[in-house]
Amino acid sequence: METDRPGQEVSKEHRQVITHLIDNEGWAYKTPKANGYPRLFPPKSDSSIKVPKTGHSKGHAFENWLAAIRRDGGHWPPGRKTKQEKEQEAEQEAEEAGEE
Amino acid sequence: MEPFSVRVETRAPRDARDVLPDDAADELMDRLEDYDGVVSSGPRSWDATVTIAAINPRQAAEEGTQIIEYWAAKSGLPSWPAVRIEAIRQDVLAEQLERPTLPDLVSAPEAADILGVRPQRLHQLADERRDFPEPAYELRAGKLWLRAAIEAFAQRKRQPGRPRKAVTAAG
Repeated sequence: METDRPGQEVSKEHRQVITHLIDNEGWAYKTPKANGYPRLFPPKSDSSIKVPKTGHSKGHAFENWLAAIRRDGGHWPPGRKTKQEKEQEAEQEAEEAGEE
Repeated sequence: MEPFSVRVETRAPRDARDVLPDDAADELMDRLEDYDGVVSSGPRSWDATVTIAAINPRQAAEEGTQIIEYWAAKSGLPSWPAVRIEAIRQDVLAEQLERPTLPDLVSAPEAADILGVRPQRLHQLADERRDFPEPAYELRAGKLWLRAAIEAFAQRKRQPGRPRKAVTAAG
């Protein structure tokens, strides 16, 4: 299944998890049509998990969403960080340090 | 009262002909926003999770199920029977989510490092010692062990005394 990349339609926390699942665990992501919700597809599955939009991240929605991902076989937090994730994390830290 | 995460999973009966419209699942997401709701759906199943305040998991499961079923019907989701209902206190769920689910694995060179031996000796130990851990995976590229199993073996190996030999019947 072809995948989109997550953008500003989801929060930073959601984007981090989605990017990990796409790049390392074979998941696919579809941006919404019109006013719908983004969807996350586990590998070799015809079911999908709706992704709460930015603004839905308050309260316990993020925890409930992570639990749904883990039930469908996704891993978060990742066990060991991949080289790519370490690089992304270093870049992010450098950006944040630059902003301060 | 404590917050509980309540999940209801439904499945289509074998003879069900109704299909799940995708916009219905979107609508349910909207309606459950105040309950921190999350919805998953497939051609023959859907499930929803909400967070509600309750005295105990039993009460949470009952009230959460009512909320989910009520708004699912309003959103146009098929009224398929529930096949699983789960309630977990939100702080317990948060604790579970902090633990990685991928096992920590080590390859032969890493296992050898933990044991303080050369890789060749590692394979000898694996052949000689009955208490050497079985690999979790055997790939074409080599074997992988659970780190915890190798560390436990390393501790046994450090204990004084010679390893017990297999007992054979006296002739």
